[in-house]
Amino acid sequence: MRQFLPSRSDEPIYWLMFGAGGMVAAIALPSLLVLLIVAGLTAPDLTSGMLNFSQISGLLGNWFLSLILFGIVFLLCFYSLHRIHHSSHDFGIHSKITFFMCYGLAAALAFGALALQILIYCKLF
Amino acid sequence: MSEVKSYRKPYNPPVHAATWWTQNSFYKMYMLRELTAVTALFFVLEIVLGLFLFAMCKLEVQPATAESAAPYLWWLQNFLGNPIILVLNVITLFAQLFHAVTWFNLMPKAVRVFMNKNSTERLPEYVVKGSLYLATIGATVVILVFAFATI
Amino acid sequence: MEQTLNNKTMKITVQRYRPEQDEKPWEQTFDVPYHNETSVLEALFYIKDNFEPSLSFRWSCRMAVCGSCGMMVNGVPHLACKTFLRDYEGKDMKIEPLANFPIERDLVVDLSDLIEKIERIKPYIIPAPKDKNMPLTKSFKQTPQQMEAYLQFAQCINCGCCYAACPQYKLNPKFIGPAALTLLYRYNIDNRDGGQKLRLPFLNAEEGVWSCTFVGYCSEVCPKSVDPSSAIQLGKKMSATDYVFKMIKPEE
Repeated sequence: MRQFLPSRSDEPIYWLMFGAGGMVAAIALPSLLVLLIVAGLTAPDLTSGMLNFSQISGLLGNWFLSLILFGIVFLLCFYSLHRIHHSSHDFGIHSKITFFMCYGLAAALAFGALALQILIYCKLF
Repeated sequence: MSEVKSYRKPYNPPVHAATWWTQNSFYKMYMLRELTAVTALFFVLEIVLGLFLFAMCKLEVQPATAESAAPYLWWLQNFLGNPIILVLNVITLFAQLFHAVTWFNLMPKAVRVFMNKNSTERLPEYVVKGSLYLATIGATVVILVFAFATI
Repeated sequence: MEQTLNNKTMKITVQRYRPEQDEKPWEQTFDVPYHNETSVLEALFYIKDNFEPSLSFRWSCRMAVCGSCGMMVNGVPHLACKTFLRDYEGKDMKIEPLANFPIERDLVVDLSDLIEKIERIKPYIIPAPKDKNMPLTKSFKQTPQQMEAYLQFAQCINCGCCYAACPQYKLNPKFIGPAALTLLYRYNIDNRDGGQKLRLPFLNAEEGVWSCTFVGYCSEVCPKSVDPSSAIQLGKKMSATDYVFKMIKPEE
């Protein structure tokens, strides 16, 4: 019997980003969420309190820290939307549209964040 | 050749594509685990909103005033301080802790390493899991100390 | 058997389907006496001998070696010979044919899709070109570690329990599925084997490892502790490595 070989899937790209993002989420997200909750509870302003304006200026004005933040946001985008894409399949929705919606949104969010960070970095100097 | 009538009529049970996971608790935990990704997306949206509003500030004004930094201060005080967002953030925190536990529990299955070149003994599961939990604790300490030290 | 049946009975509901007269499956309930050592398979024998001679089910070895008697016990895939009524003490029991497969008759399902998929991934040692002309009197060398690497994944008895547990197979019957992918991985990491290239296309495909979302229920229900979900994750790593290598150095 002649067998037709199936074609290679491009899933490894998304899977590798998903794996890295899931690891980042498990390792770094709890503490980052604590920061957001602390900021929400203490009503910070320009110079005092968690995530105050000058602290974030320092963070986003430092290219290295800003790059780390971008890395986290990028991986989390692809991690979460990869999982949501597969969950939509688990709920019985299989279509190319959800694929483009999920990864398109992930790319838009990740590179939108990068553009904003570059804009802020340039404006700060 | 004898004529034998075939009574074959295989029955294909219907597939409940949207509700299959309700049939046992293992599947429900799986769905819960997968849906923690929604909270991760929520976190990303919060951060991107914060970045957007920060970029909206008049950053050239030095030192910053309440007026020049108004968009970011709105995000800090009115958005993050909003009780609904606060509750959602707390839910997100617990969801992500649940994600971390399930993620680390599955990790030993993806790691199959032998103790040394000749041994048939595999790296024990608790080493894999333990080092991941240590990484989370380490990262949490570093991030919190860094955040509180730079206020 | 009768002497030791110290008056315990269990209500067992069996799903019936007779293709020559039924449109769809229906249920039949029996009160089956049992003792501490009664397995589900023995309960089915009792039903067939005493109540319903027309009940059909597959079985052979009665000792979890042949993989014939996979069925759903209270909604969970089990080998009937390895599951005991004592573990369901005080509860009712419902026996259904293995999920996700077409039902042929009563508890008999058509496993040909599973068999075809296992065949497809070439589950046998394919000697590497350098070993092709090795005399039959010479044997392959294998260290204990090289054996340990695949041995667990070689314990599969093709009972189909993992396919019944797998929601991805339910949603997409094209998925090669846990048992076949586990065997694929098992042969690809065997140091005596040289057929990796022939099997990788099935691993790398969408219906190969990439249809798996690591639900992990296959490993939970596997009666032989093969841990298919682990093999599939390792297969994903193998496929991703292959993907990256082929990206850097495309095949001539």
